[in-house]
Amino acid sequence: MATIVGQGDYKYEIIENWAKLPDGWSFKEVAAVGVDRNDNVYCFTRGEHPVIVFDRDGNFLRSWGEGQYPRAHGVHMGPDDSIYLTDDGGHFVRKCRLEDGKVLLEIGVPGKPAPYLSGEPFNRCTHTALSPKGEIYVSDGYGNARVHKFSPDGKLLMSWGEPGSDRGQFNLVHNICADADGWVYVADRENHRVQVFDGNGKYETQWNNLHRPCGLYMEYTRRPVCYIGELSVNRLNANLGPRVSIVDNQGELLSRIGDPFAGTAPTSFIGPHGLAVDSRGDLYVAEVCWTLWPGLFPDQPRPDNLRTIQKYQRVH
Amino acid sequence: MAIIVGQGDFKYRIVEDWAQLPDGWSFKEVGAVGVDKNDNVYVFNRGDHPVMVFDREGNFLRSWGEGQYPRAHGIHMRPDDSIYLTDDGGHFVRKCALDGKVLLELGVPGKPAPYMSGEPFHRCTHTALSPKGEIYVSDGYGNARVHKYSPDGKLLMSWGEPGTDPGQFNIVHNICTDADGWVYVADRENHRVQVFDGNGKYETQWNNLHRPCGLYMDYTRHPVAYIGELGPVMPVNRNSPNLGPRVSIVDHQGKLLSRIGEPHAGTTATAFLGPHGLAVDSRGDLYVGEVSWTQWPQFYPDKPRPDYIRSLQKYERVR
Repeated sequence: MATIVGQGDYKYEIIENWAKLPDGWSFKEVAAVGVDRNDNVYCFTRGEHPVIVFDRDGNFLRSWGEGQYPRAHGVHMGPDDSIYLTDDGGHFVRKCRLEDGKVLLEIGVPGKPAPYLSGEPFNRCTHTALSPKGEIYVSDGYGNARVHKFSPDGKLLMSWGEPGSDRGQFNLVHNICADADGWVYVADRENHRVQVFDGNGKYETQWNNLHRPCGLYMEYTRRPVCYIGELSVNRLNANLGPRVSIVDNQGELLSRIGDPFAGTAPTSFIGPHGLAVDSRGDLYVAEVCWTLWPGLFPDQPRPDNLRTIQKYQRVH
Repeated sequence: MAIIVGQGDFKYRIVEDWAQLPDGWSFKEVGAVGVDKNDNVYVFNRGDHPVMVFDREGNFLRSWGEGQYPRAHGIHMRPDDSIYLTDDGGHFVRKCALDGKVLLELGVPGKPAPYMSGEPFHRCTHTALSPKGEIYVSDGYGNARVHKYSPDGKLLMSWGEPGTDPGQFNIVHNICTDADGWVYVADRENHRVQVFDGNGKYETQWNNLHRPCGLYMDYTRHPVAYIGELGPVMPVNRNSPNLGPRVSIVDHQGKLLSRIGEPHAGTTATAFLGPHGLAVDSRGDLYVGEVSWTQWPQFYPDKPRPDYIRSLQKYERVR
């Protein structure tokens, strides 16, 4: 029996056990996921194989990056067959070649964070996005409250943001997206909102009615819908995530996936942290379930094989 | 040297050590504070003397309620010489005369409704009155509801459920009304104040707040709102500035007019630990009650709590 989740135009059939990992391999947890133009899927993991690549049916293709990524955090796929990986534990962003992970550009100094809340890049940077001209936005992150804008070749152009709850201030800048008109969307996680800026950091608007928005994915089009992974804080109160919300370009809710409480059922989530959508509209959700398990289930030992990636096939 | 805090039309001179408690007495911490028509100040606290009354100079007048209030949480005062006390630990609301005589009781002391049942009460938090004298109760920690009662305590209706959508709540912590009948709800962990009509129809929300906790409005048309905001206590943001604890004063559209507090939590006169209950007297002077004992370990898990920490301060309006 197919399990269908979501509402309206955004309904999905859950594909359980989609990823076919080589024997003995584990994701541990998948922080982020990306899809290339051939609908191959790149899982940025916190296990021994940081980048594991699958075809759209979940067949294993290859892995790379072993030993090079201390703590996977964000993925953004470039238009030129490149992948931008953000490592918050290593304090760096790398633009890599898809087939083998060859590093084409590196921003930040691996292992050398800027001082905490200094505003200088980076202290636990989280994600990247690209402007229409190919400029690179980096959200930064856990140890800063900043968005940095770099030239396509990695020169720092400008930065904006400071700690706080006012417009243009941030309380854990967790993910970032851009659209084809150049608008920049920032998941301001602990302010429970997404802030929208122009390409130079001028505040435009914000979306509310969210709970700890953490993962953001938007297609690079005009007025795209936005896929938002939201975190919870515990299992006491219903309807506060973890969940995935799909909103229109004004932030209006279109569809929502997830049960009222955190859980391990196919229809529920533990920590939806990274999202991506392929050419057919199929959705991949990566979860930081190892990290969040003890907070959500303090009295239960963590199971050996927690789900950390799931595919949701769009029902048209 | 006078210390002046705030901005614009809402500047205040800090009056340190305002409350003169009897020797050996302690507030422990203050859940809420209210002011009567004579500008006497009612301090609903979590010490041995749940209600302590002071004149505007901070002279002790009397106390009452000993043994009757397990955990002070909210105060609402109206000019008819009554005081509404909400006790979240006891799961009840009491309307009292100003000498503490109980005139009306809602809820059954010590008997909570089932958790998240929507039935009154499970750790109710605060009250407000409609223009007709109907009683709104925010409820609270163990429910996600606002209840509306007739003036004599009959349940008329309830609204709200857990969640983040308009009309849903994530810790309904304080409630106020204005003379036009609008209802303002501090939806603490959704980081917003929601505004409803008198029957619970969602109207709008105010954002750009951090854990809004205490709410005070004068009972007029288009009043400003005084908002106590709690600070960041998660491991990921505990050291981040500009998130409270602080007091923000906003206009009737939720636009910031003035803000009091330091970038970080603290014990200096200009900083806060947990501004939880607020009241303003006839001269515009502001009183802020703080749950400083409760908040201390959340900010300073490795530091023992000092024997005395401030839990009430007066801010005299500068005009």
